Amino acid sequence: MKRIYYFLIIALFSLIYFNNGAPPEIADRIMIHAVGIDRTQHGYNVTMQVFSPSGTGSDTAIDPSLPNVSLVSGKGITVNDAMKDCIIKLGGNVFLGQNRMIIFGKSIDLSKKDDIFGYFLASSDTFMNVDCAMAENTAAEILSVPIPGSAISSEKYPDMIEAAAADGRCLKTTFLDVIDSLESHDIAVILPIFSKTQKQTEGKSSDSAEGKESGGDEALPESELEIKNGALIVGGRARAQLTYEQMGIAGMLNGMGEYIRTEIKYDGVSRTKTFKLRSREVNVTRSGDDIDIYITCRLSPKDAQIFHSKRHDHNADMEAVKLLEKKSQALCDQLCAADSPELLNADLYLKRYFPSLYRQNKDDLDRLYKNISYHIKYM
Amino acid sequence: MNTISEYSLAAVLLVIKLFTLSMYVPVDGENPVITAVIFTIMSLIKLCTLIPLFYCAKKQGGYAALSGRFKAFGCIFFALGAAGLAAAVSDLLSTAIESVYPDRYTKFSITLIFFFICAYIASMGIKGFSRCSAGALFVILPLMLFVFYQMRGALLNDRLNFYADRPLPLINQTVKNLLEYTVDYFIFFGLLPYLKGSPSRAAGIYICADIIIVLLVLLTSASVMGSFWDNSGYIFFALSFSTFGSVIDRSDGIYLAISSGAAIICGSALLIVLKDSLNFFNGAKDKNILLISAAALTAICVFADNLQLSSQRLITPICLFSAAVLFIISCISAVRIKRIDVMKNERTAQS
Repeated sequence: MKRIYYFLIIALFSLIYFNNGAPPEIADRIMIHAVGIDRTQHGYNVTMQVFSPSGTGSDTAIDPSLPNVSLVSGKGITVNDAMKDCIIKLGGNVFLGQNRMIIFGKSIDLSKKDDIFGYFLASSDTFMNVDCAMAENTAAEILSVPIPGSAISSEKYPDMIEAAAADGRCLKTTFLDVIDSLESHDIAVILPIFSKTQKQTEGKSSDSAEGKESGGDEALPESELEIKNGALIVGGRARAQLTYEQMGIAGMLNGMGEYIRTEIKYDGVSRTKTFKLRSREVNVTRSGDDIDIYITCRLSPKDAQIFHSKRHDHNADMEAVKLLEKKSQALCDQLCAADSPELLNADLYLKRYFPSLYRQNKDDLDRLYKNISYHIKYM
Repeated sequence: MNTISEYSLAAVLLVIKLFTLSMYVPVDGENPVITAVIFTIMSLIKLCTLIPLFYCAKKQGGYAALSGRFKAFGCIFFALGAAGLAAAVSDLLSTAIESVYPDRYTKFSITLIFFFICAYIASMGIKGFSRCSAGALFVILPLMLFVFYQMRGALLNDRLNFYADRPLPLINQTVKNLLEYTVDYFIFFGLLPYLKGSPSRAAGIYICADIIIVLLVLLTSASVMGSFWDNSGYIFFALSFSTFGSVIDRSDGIYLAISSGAAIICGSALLIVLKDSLNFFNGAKDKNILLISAAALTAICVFADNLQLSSQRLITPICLFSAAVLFIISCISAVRIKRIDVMKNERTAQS
């Protein structure tokens, strides 16, 4: 039998295959670029930033001077219901595959994992490494801030986190990190906080040569977003805030970050020093009930050093490293005493080095965690 | 002339292993590091069970036990095994793709097309088939390595440990889970008649590469997903959904292509084994047997799907039963060859 018959049969079945629910064209899809989740009295409020090109009538479809997004919000008892409410309002083929950001409101309780994460885990469009953050108040407020300057407003959120993390000012937390923390005993995670600031700038009176009305001295309100602090989430709820310096330190100590910074005063001059992590070694020892975790990090300076002598910069770096070591030790002591050592991967170290001890105490880990102490050394 | 080299056979088996890897679903509570260790041990045990075969091949170049009156038994055994595994592989692939992309693909449509594409590749003969496998491997491996290279910063982090709440039951569960994905053993024996060189070299190359690839995939997915690993479903696809924006915007499409391509190679290999077995009972042309087999298997799978019968359950019993039978036959062959050798030596010594 000739091979042509194979082709005919495959072609025939291909007609059925490709005609059976062909996927919609990209132009027909409604693309979600950012999602905000707020807890309300009766459930959850989800706010979505939807791609909406604003350049209609101009030469380009997308006008970079405009945010190119529109907002849609929905309510529901769970996030799944709220998302469906949004999708009903949008209509059409909603596509979550381009979502770049999930922002949680301040009042969120991450321990209710089925209510909050059920939709995202069930959807095959969700990418697990989207960035997650927290809003200073509500996520809807943050998502409603127009951010011009790029093709799509919501690209700014992960770009801001990326830039801050590269400067040791922020911890990049992905959706996977949040899901991972839900499996731990303390449900502990650190999220960067987006906050909204109002800035006012003085405007000069405009020239009337072109027929414009003069405006005199006017204050132009300019909204900005910034990442100032980090939310310390323990037990699923925001418990405290970390400064951006502490966020960078925590990120480097638990392996999620690469950069660390501090401000020092050297030779009477205040300066900031940023370091990149070269290597991180962890060793865990046990004596009796006490468990000591030793973290040794090798750092290399990241800042450009042009106008001073090498010796001068080296001395300044050593000062900065010593200061960082003290701050890191203080942060570790604070997290172990008041919050959760799981933020510094204590549970993972126990599972790796002392699995039988962890197994014996897994029903009463708080008692085990009280005996943990960290010892930080920077080189 | 209708033969392939050891390297070609190893390439075929590697592509088949990539298919089974893309279908791997961890059980609840499974620890990926423990799975990696158990898999390595099982691979080495697999290599050891092939030692009698290597002995037979070295002495006589094949099975002494499958000549003459035993050939009919062997052909029935391979025919039933190949048909059952082909149905199971089709079910596995179509279920996986339907669950990952429920809005785009259905089991019915995938099953319709799958066997005919496999039959087409099988109709190219063993040389054409091995060229397809080698080509698939040369495309798949660099893609996978490229994506893993971008994840290198996330590898071997603090998330890897040997901890298990109940170690012995977990090891038991993991071994049972891993046994579901051992179709390569059956195919190795099925394609042996085409092998020109040494089966020990083919097996050695394949198992070394197999261990490296599987460890890479398991440990990468464990490093990236952490404690979510055992709930992530198909780890291959879950890993692809964790790569947004790293290199390729949507690497899940690449993973879909890899798993589909590797499944077709696996299905083609099984159809070749089925065709050779059925050839013993009738003298029909290869292409006719392949087309009829493809049509029959399609009909069976579609019928079973409509009755909501899952043929995936056939994989483990067929793999285990066939591995046991093949091992026993290898041992019997090796003992017979040894006895024939001893008798020859005695006669030589007497004369």
